[in-house]
Amino acid sequence: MEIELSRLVDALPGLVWTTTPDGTSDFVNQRLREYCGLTLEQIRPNGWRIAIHPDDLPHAQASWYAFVAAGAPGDVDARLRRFDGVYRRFNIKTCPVTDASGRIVGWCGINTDIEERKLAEEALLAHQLASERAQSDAALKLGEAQLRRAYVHLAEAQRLSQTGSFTWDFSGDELFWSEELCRIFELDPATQIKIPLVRDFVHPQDLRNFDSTVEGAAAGLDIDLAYRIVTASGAVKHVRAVGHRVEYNADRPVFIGAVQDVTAAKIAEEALRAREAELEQAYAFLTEAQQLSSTGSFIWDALADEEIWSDELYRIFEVDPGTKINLPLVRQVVHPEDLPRVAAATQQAVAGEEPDYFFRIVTPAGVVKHMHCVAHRSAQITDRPMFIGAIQDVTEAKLAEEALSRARAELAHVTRVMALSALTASIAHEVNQPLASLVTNASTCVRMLAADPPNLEIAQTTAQRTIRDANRASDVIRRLRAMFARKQPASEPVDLAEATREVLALSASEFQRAGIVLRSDFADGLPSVRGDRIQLQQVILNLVLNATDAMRAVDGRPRNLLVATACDETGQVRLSVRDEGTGIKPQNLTRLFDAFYTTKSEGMGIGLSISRSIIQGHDGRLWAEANDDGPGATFSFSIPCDVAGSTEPLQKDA
Amino acid sequence: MKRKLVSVVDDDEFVREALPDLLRSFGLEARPFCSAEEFLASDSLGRTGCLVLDVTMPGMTGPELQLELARRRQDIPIVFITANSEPSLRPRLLKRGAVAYLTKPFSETAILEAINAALEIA
Repeated sequence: MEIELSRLVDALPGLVWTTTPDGTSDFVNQRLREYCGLTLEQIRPNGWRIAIHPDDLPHAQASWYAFVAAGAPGDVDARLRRFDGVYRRFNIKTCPVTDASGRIVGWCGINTDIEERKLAEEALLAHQLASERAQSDAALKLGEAQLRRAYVHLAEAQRLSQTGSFTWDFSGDELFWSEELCRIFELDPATQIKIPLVRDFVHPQDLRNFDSTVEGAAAGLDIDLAYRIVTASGAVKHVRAVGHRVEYNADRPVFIGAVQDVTAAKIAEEALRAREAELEQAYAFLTEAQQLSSTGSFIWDALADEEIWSDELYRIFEVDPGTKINLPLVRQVVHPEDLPRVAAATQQAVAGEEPDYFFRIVTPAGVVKHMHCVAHRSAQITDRPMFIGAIQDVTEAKLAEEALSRARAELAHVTRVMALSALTASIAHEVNQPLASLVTNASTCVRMLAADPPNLEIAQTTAQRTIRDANRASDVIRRLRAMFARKQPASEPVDLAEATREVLALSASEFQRAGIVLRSDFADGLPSVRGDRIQLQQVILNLVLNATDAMRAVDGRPRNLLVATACDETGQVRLSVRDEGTGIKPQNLTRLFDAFYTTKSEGMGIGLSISRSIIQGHDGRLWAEANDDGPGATFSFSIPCDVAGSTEPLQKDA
Repeated sequence: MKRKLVSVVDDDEFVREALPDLLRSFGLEARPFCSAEEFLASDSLGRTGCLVLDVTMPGMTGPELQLELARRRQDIPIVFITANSEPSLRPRLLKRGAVAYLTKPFSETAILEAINAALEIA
């Protein structure tokens, strides 16, 4: 290098150096030499290395060789030792020097002291770090508070939902339980919890499920198990545990989960289920009861004309289940003759009464069924007329009743004939008596006409008597024929006193033969009763013949028979037959009316039984009592007077 | 002197009315009584040549009157009449001395024959 250039370079206010094309140091300017405190000779050719901090040397040297090899400019930071031994940081920049043809003829470089800048940068960084740390500290503090709050909330939420949480390290069987979970199990939170301990709590009946769930967990399956525990206090609790394996540690199965105390819910559920079961059972019972009793029920909304029917009612009416029911449809099924009755009952219901009536229906198959319907307005639904009712299929009962009624009428007839046959002698007497005077009068009449001269006056008188006698005889026959007649029970106004007189007339000679003194006491203006005259006469006949029989054995005192009618306080007409016979033993009073019970040697014991059923058929009652003022007994019956017929003149039968 | 009176004792007023009229048409003297008691109390006992007596009556019956007359040694021939056909009674009454036992209604011939037979005895 030329002197001038050397001096120029030395004078440059920078630390400058040059090398040969292969990187060997060939020049270091004065300022650099002064900084290092080294002579040019010390530096050349490779003594510069001693100026570089040993720690930075490898990197700096490597970088330098890389630049040279590449023939490209570059820079590297390294610490350089000052003359006084103090290292300062420098940025070492270098670039190749080329000739005209572009061939590298050497390298030049300049070292810039960056110590101050680095210090400033470091100070800044330090400041930044400090402030960042301060910030993160604050954030951490904030996070802690939030965490604590969240934990409180979580604990609270666990308490409120009665849900405890757990983590379970399967391999070490380490369980961590939340406070709430300990509380549910009534365990001290400090207790070290392991699966065998938990297992001790499990209800014996749930152990199998518990064990299989633990096994499943070992295989990595999720936990979902409802089971019961028995706590130290003896309480049985229903809990539900759910959990799943957390995946962050593949070889260490760890479960996280929750256990909820569902006892209250379970109890409520069980109560609900029990109530449902009860309801179901009640419904099943009701359905069965409806089937057994052939009774269907219905609800009728009168305004909307909508009916809801029970299954049984559909079955009874033989209408397809689910068919919408209203009055027009019901009218189609009701027997045409009973439509007015159903309409009247419907009117009654709407008017607020409680209908209780019978009607017939004709099923689609043409079968007639007898129905009994009762209904009343629901007290629970007040805003509109709503009726709840029941309809019973009483067909069988009705048919049985009709058969019974026929059998009873038949029996009544038979007993009547039997009773009358007991009167045969009496009846013969009643008929023969007028016949006797008739024949006698006729004989006298013939004789008077045959006399010379004929006695026409007496002939006429006796002829008239024969007519009277014939009528007397025919009256008896007429009464008898009526008593023997077998006809349908009638419902007509009956003058009880008149009917009684006829019976007494037929029985008159029987009384005479038995030495009975008959006295009758018929109240004036007795209202008529409604019923069957013949049947009522049969009862009266039965009572007076019984009374007669009761007095047959009486000796030494009069055989008084009193037949009386009266109208009692309740508007009933009473007839009583009082004898002074042997009386009734108190123990026999109740059995008197039983069928086939008799105290007579030749009786069948059905007279009183039939009589009672006849009187009951007239809505009346028949009873017996011992006389309290003397020997004997009094048999009485009372039946309601005929309200409709009492004001009309009595119908005289032919 | 033969007793000619025919006394008719019957509780049936129509018989009491009809029978005496018929007997009278045959020239017989006849008198009706409505009961045995009335007959016993009357003055006709001694004059009665034939007693036409009903069997069944309230109070004293025909057979009882027969016994009562026997007890009083009043030997009056009796013709029983009855509307009841009780065959058991007939031989008993005839055995006790009754002339006849007629069942109502009876014919003119039957009653006349019986009464005449009774009057013959009396």
